[in-house]
Amino acid sequence: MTRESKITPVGAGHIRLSLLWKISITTLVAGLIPLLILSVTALNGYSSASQQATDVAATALDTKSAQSLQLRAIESAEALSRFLEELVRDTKTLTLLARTSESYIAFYQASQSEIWYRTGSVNAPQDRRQAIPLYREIAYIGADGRERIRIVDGRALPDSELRDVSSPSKTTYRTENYFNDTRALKQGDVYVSRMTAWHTSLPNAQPGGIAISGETDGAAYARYEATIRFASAVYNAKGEFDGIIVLSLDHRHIMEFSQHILPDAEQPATPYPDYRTGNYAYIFDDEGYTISHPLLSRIRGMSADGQLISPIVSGMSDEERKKHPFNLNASDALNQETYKDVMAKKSDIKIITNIGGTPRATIYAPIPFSYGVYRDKGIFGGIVIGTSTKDFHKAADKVGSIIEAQSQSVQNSMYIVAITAVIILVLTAALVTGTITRPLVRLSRVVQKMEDGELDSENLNIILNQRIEDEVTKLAQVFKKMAVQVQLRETKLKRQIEELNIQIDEQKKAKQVAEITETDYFQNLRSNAQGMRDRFKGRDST
Amino acid sequence: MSKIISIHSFRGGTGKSNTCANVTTLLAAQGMRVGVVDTDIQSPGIHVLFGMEEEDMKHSLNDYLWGKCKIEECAHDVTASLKANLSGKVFLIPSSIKAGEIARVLREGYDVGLLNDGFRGLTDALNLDVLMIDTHPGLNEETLLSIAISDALGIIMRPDQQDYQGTGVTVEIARKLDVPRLFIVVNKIPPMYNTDEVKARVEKTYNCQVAAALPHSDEMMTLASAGIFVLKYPDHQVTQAYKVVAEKLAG
Repeated sequence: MTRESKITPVGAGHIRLSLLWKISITTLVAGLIPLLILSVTALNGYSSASQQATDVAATALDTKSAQSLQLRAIESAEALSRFLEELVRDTKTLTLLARTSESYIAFYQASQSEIWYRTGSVNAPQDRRQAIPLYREIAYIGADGRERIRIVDGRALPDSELRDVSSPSKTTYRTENYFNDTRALKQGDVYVSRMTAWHTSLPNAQPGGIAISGETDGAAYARYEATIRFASAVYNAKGEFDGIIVLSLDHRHIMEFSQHILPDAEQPATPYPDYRTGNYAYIFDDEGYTISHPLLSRIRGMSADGQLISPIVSGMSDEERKKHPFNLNASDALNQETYKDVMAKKSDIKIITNIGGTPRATIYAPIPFSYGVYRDKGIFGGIVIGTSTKDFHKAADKVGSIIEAQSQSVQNSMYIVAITAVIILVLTAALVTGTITRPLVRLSRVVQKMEDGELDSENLNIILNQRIEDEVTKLAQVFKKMAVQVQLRETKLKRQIEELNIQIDEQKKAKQVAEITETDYFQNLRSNAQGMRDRFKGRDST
Repeated sequence: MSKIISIHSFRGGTGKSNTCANVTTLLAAQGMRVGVVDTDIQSPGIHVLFGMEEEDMKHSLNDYLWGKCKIEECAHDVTASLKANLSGKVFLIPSSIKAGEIARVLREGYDVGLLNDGFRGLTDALNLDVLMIDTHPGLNEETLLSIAISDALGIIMRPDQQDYQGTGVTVEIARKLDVPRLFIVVNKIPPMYNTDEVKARVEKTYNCQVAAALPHSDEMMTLASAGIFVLKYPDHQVTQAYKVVAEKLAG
């Protein structure tokens, strides 16, 4: 038995490592890879689903919010339109009344409507609802253009204060031509002017529409003076032109239609909006000028000589901007488009993203009206609601964050499950592999010992005695039988080949032989031996 | 023409008496008239193999040596007792087993020459074909004489260190005495040894032919000295080996 035939002596551990690895890796791979694939797929699927859900929710909510705002815009526009028509009816009604101060004052007192605003100081604001007369002035102007009756704030002016308004320069705002425009109309028709006011930056407007520091914006609103003139011609018994009736609307009643809209689902109405948030509604007229706005300096207005002040253009400083009104056509593309759409009697929702990043929604609706200066286009103007979609998103964001939280918790659960599964798999693999490899390792030890010529009965018996019998047990049984045989044969062979070792000390032998041969007896015997043998035979033969 | 065959060994316990008895029986089975003398007066033993007990012994060799009787009166015909239907005859001349008589011989010794005469007388009287001498182990005057007068000598040895030296001396002595046919029989070879190997080794060592290399057999051990092996196990390989020995010794 030579050393060369030995199993590679890295030690019995060599088998164990590779078998253990093979089985463990197989088990782990077979168990883990599907698990991992499943987990990753599920997590990805979940996360993409949650993202989609958030997006869909956001979009849906955005759309819903925008649509609801659009509805509000449309409803407000139509309500304003109806209001304007009521005013037209009032004007017609007035032409039928007796042309006396009393009847006009009575009419004045009977025509009231509510305004709602926030006044007081910024630190101590006061919300106020107030019923105020619709018309600041009611006047009868004779056919020659001279005022016959003029009621201002419910008081008939004395004759000395009556004026000839046939030429615009004598009118309140220096350039009003309502007398001639009304006279030119057909019988029964009503003239409606554009919104007329001094711009708030003018001295004669102050303190008027300019907010004093510390004051709420609503406080300025309470003092604001602007008008739209409604006029209709009257005729005498002969049917001849007999002058005009003029109703001067307190314009704030129109502003009321946009002033309280707050594009916030939770709190839809406000006493007075904060223009700084950008979340408010405003109205513009058919010339594109703002005629209702939380910041009164934006509103269309005249300079001292009755000329419209030019609108804000880009590049103006903040101070300058306070001195000019806002006109959509002088503004950016979005506003220009808004004007165009409204004049084309279209309502729409536009969402753009500012440089700042927050998307803004601009929702607008046309105000249909066909009297006076608005006859040609049929549009009084438009109501615009602007808002940052962040507020739309509030609900969507909530949904999103709920979904996100859920997704996160699912993810965490999955990680825990995955880790647990890995641990279990590893343990199981180790355990199972152990039960397979341990007996094999033992057997390999036995075999190795066998090569050294020993029978490792201890390990062999451990295998044979284990409760769970398998192929390894069978191997062990065979090994035992073989081992015994091998052992016996080896022993036998060893001894057979062991040479019969005959040790003879030749010198000693010679000496011992000499001891005998040198005796007389021997010498004698020797010489006589043959003779004795012969005599024996000789005797016999005779 | 009668022959003298001595069966000798340097030490006791080599199976000398057994070999002697078996060879005797085999020669008798061939139809020969064989006499077997137990010259191991100090420790007689061959009679047991022939089933002889003290009361069966009428006269022993001792009686002859002390002049009490003629040599032929010591011969016992044991052929029938073997119950083997042998064509020949076996005459046993035993030594006394009485302790006192053994002691006497040890004390007084005996005349070797008388022994020699006795051999001759026996051969003549009984008309023997072969005289088998079961010698006393070791080399002394009596054994040297047996060797000297033998036509054939079988030296029995065991493959045991204790035998090797002595057997070597015996072989030398035998050569010096010009024994015509000299054979070694290696007996009681343990089963771990290859018998052919052993035969070859021994022959080489002593430069002397080995008549047989007999393996130690369980049957022999069981039989012990209760009987003649070759009769009980006629087909055993050991029996075949004994036949070879007999053949070689008888010439």
